[in-house]
Amino acid sequence: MPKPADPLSDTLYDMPTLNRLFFVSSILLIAATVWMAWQDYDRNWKHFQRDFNTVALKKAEIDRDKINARLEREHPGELKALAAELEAATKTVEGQKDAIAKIRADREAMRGKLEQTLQHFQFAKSESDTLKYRAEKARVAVDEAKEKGHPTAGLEKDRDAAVARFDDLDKETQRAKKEWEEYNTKDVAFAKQIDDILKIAENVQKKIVKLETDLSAKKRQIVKLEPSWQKDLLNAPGVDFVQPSEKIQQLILPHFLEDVNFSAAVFKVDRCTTCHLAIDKKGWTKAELEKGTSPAFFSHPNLELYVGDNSPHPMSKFGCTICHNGQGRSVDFNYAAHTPKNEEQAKEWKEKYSWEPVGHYDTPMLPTPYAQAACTKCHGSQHRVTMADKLNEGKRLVETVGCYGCHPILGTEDLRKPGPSLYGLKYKVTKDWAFNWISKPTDFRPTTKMPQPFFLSNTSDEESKKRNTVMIQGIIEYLWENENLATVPKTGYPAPPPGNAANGKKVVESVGCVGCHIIEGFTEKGNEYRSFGPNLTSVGSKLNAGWTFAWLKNPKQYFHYTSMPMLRLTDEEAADATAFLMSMKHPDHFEDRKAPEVDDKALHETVVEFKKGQMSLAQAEEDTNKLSQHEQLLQLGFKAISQMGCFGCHDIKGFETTKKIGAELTGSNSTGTKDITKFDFGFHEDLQHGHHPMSNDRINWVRAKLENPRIFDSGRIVAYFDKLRMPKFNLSEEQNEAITTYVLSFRRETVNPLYLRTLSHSDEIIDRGKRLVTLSNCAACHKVGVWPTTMVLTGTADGENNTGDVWGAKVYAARQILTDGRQVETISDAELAILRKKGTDILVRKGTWITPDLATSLLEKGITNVLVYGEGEAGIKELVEKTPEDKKAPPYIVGEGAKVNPDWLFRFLKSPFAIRPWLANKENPGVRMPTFGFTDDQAMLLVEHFARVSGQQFPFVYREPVADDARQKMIATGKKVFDENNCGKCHVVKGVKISTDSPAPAFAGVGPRIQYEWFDRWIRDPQSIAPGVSMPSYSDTQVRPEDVPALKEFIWSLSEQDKK
Amino acid sequence: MTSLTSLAFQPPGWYTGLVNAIVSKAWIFMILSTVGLALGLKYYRTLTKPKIAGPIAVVSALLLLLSYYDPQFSSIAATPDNVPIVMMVASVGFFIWLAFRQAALNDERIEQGLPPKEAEAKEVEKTFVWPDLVYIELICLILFSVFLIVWSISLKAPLEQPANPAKTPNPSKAPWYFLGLQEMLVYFDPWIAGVVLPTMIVTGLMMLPYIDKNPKGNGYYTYKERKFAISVYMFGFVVTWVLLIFMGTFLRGPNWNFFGPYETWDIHKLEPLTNINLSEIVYLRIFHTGMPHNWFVREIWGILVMLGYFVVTPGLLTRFIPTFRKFYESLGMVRYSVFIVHVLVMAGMVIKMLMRWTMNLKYVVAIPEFFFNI
Repeated sequence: MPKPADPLSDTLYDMPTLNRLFFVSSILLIAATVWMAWQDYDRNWKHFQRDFNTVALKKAEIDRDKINARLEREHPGELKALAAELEAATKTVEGQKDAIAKIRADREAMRGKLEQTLQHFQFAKSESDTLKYRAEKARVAVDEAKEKGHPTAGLEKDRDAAVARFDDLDKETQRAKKEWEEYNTKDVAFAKQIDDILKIAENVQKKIVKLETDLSAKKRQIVKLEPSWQKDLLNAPGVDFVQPSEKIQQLILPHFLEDVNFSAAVFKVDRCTTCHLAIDKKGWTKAELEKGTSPAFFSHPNLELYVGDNSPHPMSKFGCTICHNGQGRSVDFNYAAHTPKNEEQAKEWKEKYSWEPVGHYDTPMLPTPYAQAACTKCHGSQHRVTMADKLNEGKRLVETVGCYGCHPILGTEDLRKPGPSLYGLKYKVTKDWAFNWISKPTDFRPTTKMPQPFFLSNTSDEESKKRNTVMIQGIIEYLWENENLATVPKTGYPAPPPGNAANGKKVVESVGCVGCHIIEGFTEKGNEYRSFGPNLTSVGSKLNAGWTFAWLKNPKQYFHYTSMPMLRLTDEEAADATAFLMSMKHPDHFEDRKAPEVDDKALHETVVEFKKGQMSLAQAEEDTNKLSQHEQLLQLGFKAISQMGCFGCHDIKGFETTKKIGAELTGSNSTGTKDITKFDFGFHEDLQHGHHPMSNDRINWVRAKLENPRIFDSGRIVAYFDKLRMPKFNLSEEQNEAITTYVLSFRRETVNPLYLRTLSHSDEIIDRGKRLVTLSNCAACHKVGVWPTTMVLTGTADGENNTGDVWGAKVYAARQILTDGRQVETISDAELAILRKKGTDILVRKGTWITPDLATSLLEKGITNVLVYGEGEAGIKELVEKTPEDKKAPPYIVGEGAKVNPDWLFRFLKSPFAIRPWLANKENPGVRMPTFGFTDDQAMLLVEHFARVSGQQFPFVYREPVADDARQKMIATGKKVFDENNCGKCHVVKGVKISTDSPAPAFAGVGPRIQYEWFDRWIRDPQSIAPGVSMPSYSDTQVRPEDVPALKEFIWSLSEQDKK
Repeated sequence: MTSLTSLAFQPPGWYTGLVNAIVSKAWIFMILSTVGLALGLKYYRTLTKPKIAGPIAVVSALLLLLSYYDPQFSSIAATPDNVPIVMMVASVGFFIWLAFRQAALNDERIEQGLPPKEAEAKEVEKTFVWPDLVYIELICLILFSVFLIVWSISLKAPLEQPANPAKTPNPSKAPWYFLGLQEMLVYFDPWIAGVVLPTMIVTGLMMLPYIDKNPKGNGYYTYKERKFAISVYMFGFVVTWVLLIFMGTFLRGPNWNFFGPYETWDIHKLEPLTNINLSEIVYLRIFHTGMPHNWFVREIWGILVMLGYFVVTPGLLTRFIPTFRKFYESLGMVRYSVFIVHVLVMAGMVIKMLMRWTMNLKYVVAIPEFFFNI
């Protein structure tokens, strides 16, 4: 510190220097404070709000111009005419100015009297009210005294006086009132005279306002959005704590609690809308906004389903982060834990928002491709979540490729083992085939669902290859030694009777095999349904002919739980089909590949190595030396099957009760919520935080694991039996994404029951039934109702539109669409009555086919997104129907529950039979409903499912009885109508064979099968129920409405007569 | 600091490699630091000269700056939590220099027979509260406010997820001022590291006035007149306190492994942790026999070592080292014992650490039978 210049100074330090220092530090403090205020003013979200204001202003101006244009279009010249009219009217009023002045003067002159009389009346009234009270009180006093027997004379006198005083004043009050009313009437008359003159202009003004309602609202909005110095002042740094227009927006969700670990849970608070200001507004789409507008200002892409007030997930109840994850409380781009969907977006964000993967946040936002992982939070009770296509696909894949074979997954307990039984493998294939298959399944069948367990990235070194080989040989040895088939004689399946491959081809082509199997030559094109069963193209290089014959006759005798149904083939058909299947050989002659000789040294080493884990090294050596090669192989096979978990997917003797080998994906270690540090990334830092554009480590891990299950062993030195052992599945990029989405949806967290989607009995049956329909692959042959999804109607109101584009088939409204554009699940009559009063009605009923005309009217109303359901694939149709006239395809079963009787359907599902047996012949054995071998529970579930899907009651269908004589009369009328319309031309009546290729069913079966009510709709518009059906529609003139019951009665009587 | 690391420039590999190699061996680092401290104390007069201290400071600052270009170093040193520790290390250096510089000047004056600088007439004069005290305090207050505002603007406190008691970060670190104690937990059982040692720091400080009766240095800086006291204090403060905080902050990484300052914190890094007890060294390695079953027989060697350390060492010190003999004579039995026990505990702590690092010594006395391990 400087010493004072003056040696005689009293102070220790030099004051001028201190003053200067003080000055400088004060300036610094001011600067720092200003910087602080500026920092606050400069916060990221404020910039968003400022930008939004600019965008909103521009949009409002565009909207205003649009409204102007619309007004001009809809009411051409009207506004101008009204303006002229207004001017004229104003002039008229001007002309009456003197008259108005005179009336006003007269009124003014009278005003003194009016006010005086009013005051007089008011005073008199209040005084008389007081006197009234006194009179009443005096009367009560007299009564009381009388009751108690006190003297009353004095009191009576007082009472009379009080009553008299009140009466006098009351009269005066009435008089004053009358006087005032006279003046008042005159005054009102004066006012009306003035009004009448002014009204001339006001009426015109009102007309203008009515026409311009939208416009003036827009104008008001523009004024509100326009920049002004007042707003700038309120938002200025340092002042902005008072009443700023830029402020943090937040949604508080008091019922959705967040666990903050230490205290009780706290409310969820989402501040996302601070920047995403138009997320709940309609019309803020890329197309409607200026190019280059920040996506932050877009509306939610699916307001019908989310965010919108009328959607099932309104923003006020669900907020944002319940579904999207991320840190809802943050208003900083990075700390909100935004996650880019791909590298490109990551790069863009880095440039635009200096985005960096956020540290220290367990649940960063789910990138859009995986967003559906959040659905199960509340929709966990559903097997299939409506409209969550990717999630459902993930579930379906997990159920079909069989992840649950090794990993315990809640909700899959009732599923069978995903792979075929190996109880009798030795009768089915050869050892050589089995060896080459297990080594690399895709070599034989590139599309197989069987994952590859050996020769993967961590087991491809020379040492491991030797071990792999003996492991596979051990597995085969074990399987050959341990058969478990009750139905097969020890000698194996006998050779099939000789068959004709050419005939067999026809059988395979027509009975329905191609619904579930791809067979090169006629069904190369695969789809989800056709890849349900294995690709049969090279099956001749795999199967034993005797086994194949027995299998085709009845698959269940070999594998009780197989999905393959019995097709009720005759011996001849089965033999032909076997001959055909056996003729299809693998192009590379897979059947000629041999398994290598057993390498004794490698076998010995491998056996010692696994035994070493259970006993001392010396003992393991000794033990192994005692064993023959066969015994070593058997023991190693047992170990290999336990090690690789083959029994998870296949029935293997000795492993019936063994526990699954994989980590549980649900429950306490749910993949979606398990602590990220519990995921073993091995040396793959590149997949982790900050090293990977996708900042969601969990997604990266699951994806990488599915892509290469052994990836996290790379770089590690691991003993053979300690290596990662998940097999490699044959998944496309999309399938990987779908499974990842589903796996991430396993979450362990507590959600308020208010948020949980609870299923009604009907919903639950529909949901469970959907899964059984999927797992039985019904949609391969039938058009079944597919789950609702959103269809975006495009095109112009008066031109082309895309009604045919979805599934290339018809689509039906999945909800009621109201005239105001709302889409509701159901609507009660009472509710409808109220809505009708307000001018809203049902525009489209649930289940209505959306025709091009209907689409046009929807587009006119501005409805572009419609929730629809449509038809399943039914890919078999194009295969079994060679020409459009060929009507052999399995029927549409959309609405089946409304069509057939539940008890009939139950019996039919349990034991199907041909409804049109005459269609089958030697040339074409005919596609048929196979015998699935459903259990009673399954069949019951399906019947109820179809009933519930079709909105039917279950299980009973009531039919009003008809008196016998009336019935006979109806039957007679019915017969007349029947004959007039020539129904017997196509339908078989009373066993009379009319034609061999009419697909029309015989009437004999109608009674027990068809629901009575359903017929009414069918006869009028069969196309709406089964598009493409040959049955013509009958108009009111052909079959008069009053004749329909009679016709039905007649047709129903036909099955009764037949019974007799 | 991200802007620095985004540049392609990085400190040369030979330099970072050399530093990592030295520093990641904790015992070398600790011995070097202690030797450095000893040398510094020996040559304090020369080293504190501005002509020499200045360049040292400049070189250190340049090295620090250079280090920030290393992505690993900057990812730790530039973490908002750790920035104050960098500042602390710098200010510790500065204030040590300041004190020793004053001491060096005074010591020279005393040698020349002059009074210390603080004793000059001008300095001892009384001064006014206003302006001399209050004005300067006001200026300090303003400057510190500026500093705090600027700090809070430039190093923001992020909004992170709720803390979870079931999930601790790796490495899990105590607040920076407790990192020294946390480091002790690596070498000692909690009852020593967490109870005995901190208590002895407090009792030791409380007893200072009763043990250190040397009136020299009161009111002025000097080193020469109280060499022993200052050296012991410097060892205790710089090596066993500041250095351990530094180690805890910058060198302890995931799984509490020791890392060089430029070494990537690899979560998979494995260090051999086969530590053994003294008794195992004695019986297995020297006697080539099995371990005795009786704990007393087993641990007798360790107990003897401890007894020897606390009973025989003071005797030897007093007998052979004049400084200690002088202390014994001037302090008397009781005070001398208190003094020597505190000094021995402090030294023993460092000795145990060195033995752990060099010999993998787990415990000198290990009696898990009743949870007594030293």
